[in-house]
Amino acid sequence: MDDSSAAGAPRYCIQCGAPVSPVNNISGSMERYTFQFTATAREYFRIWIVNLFLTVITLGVWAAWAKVRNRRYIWASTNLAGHPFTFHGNPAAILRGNMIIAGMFVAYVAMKKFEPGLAGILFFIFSVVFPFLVCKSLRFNAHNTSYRNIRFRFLGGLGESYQTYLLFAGIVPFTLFIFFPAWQFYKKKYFFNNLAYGMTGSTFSGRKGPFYRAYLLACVIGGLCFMVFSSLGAYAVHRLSTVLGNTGASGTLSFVYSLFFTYLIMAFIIYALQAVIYSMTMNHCWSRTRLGKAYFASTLRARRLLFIRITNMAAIFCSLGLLIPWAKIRRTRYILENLAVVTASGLDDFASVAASETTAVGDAATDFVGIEIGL
Amino acid sequence: MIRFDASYFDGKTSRPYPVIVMFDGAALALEGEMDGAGMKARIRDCSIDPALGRTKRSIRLPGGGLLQTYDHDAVNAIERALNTNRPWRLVHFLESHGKAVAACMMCLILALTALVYYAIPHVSTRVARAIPPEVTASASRNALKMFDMRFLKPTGLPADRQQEIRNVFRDVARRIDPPGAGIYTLEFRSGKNLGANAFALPSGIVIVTDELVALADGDDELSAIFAHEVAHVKRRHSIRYILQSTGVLFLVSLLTGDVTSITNFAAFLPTLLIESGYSRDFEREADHEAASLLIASGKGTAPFRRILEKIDASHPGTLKLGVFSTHPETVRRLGYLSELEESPK
Repeated sequence: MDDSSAAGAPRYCIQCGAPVSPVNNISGSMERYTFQFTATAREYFRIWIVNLFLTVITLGVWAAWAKVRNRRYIWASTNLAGHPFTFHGNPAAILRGNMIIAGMFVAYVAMKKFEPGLAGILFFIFSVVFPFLVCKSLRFNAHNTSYRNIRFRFLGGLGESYQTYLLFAGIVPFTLFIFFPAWQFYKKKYFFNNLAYGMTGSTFSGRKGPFYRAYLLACVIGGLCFMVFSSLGAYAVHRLSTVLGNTGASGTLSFVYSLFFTYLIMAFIIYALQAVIYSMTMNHCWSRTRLGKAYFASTLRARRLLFIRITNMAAIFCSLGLLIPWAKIRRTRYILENLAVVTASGLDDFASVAASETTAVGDAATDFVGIEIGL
Repeated sequence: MIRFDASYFDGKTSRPYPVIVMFDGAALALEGEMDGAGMKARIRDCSIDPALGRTKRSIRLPGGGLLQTYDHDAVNAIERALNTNRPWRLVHFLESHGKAVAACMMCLILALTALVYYAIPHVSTRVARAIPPEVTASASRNALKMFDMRFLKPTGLPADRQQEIRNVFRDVARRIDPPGAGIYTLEFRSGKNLGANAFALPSGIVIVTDELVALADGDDELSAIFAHEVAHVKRRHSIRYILQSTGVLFLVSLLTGDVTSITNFAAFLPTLLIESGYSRDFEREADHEAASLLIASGKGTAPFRRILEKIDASHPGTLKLGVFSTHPETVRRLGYLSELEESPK
């Protein structure tokens, strides 16, 4: 596919010549391909539990193989126009990545507990290394994903990663967190603007406005919920301490407990509201991303995703974790089946990168260590 | 001869070609409408992706081509004929048989129980013994500074009373931990909101509040408290707690590793549960050690029980946290102590 002419060039309406917005105005010749998710909770549960068992009895070594197995299942169950995605991650590379992460974790715990003064230095070192790891992680995952025998790539450079994950992240606290939604925007931009499917690179024309809207809405809802819940909680603690005998000592005690409950309620609300932020920002990001001549449309509804998140949490809690696979399949299904590729030129003409380029040193190094960073 | 339908991808473009594949035992032959139709690939040069649930099977051809098919029987037959992917076939066998899955689940529960109750405490005890208490010196000093700032005030005890209590303390330390007696020091503070309390820092600093000293009748009751605190240090409970919680955290991260966001929040509760369980075990260990000392010196556990009851009575309105509590309930501790008195273990 000749993507050089398509990338970045605006599309024009065939009848009147006016620029066509890819989101609102899909002309008749456009075809819409929705993602189909064929995974079942039953099948995923079996894969999950067997590999979890193997992971625990090997004291974590199998975790890398388990990750590949679980992810391969999810990827292989994701179909677009009748063909599945494939995950190629090499377990040995993920094992190396896991060992690096585990080493950093142990170093941090040891420092924090035994030499708290030096933990700050370690934190500094981690924050300098982190953008590098993010970049490598995104490359690893993109490079190890293929569709129709063509690999994805992530072309984002280290410079942009350091700008986003070190500079902007460092600025956020000094702007009283007003910059926070913008920072989230730059993180998404780093991802959506640097993807490539074979030779076809992506372009991202998202804006910060929707991010500010999403976070503002989340803050308002969160603030209201917090006021209601924490006053209910405070009242309950107050009643409890009066029942148990009211003396000076229990005053401080009930203060400590109400602090604990407040923290718990806060964590719960923030966690639940991430569904709202996720649906709003992801809908925007996908609608502003182009892959050659293809557009995307994501139609997530915040309320539905919030409902799924809260019920998933309750299900996992009540089943002592056994419903984790069910919850994951349920959420992934909702997200994927609300994502579509819209294109006038079909999905058959994407070209792969010439074989000589894929064996370049960069990709080999990318596959040597697989690091997973939850973004 | 095995024959099946598949989609062929040449690896150059994203175009799928429907093909019919024939396998004669040595090579795959492709029939379809594309460049190089009728091509043959020796099966030895192909690789087959391991089976995974009922998802499509993939066969990778030499030269970068890919075949994908839902015909599991055909691909399984080829796989068996070639005898490849043996470890993965075993994993797939476990995953696709209900009984095997159930067995794995039972074994997983057993393994987790064994790790939490035996392996993690046992290993951390061994490791903690190898770590000298000096390692924790600066962390302990910082902790004391933090306590002084937030919860404690300077002591109001007269100097000669302090000296008397120090002598009691030195005597207890010498008897509980003869080789390490040199590291123990006693600090006096006024408890403010903490009330009657005593606690030990891992480097051997024991802090006792004026309120607790006032509560104690005679030196035997103070000795019991000191023995309990010195036992915490001697048995390296702080370091073991750090090691064991790190172990639990590691375990929990293994269990929730693949699912990033959903479970992190839910995992908080079981972690807390296991860690408070460890903490209660340490309290029982320290109680046991203190009781043994008291029984050996002919005083019995009565002074210890008396002071525990008084401390409990001085903190009214304490919420019962049950399984989330760091200390066993006082009633249970008293019961355990009288049991020890009747039949010392």
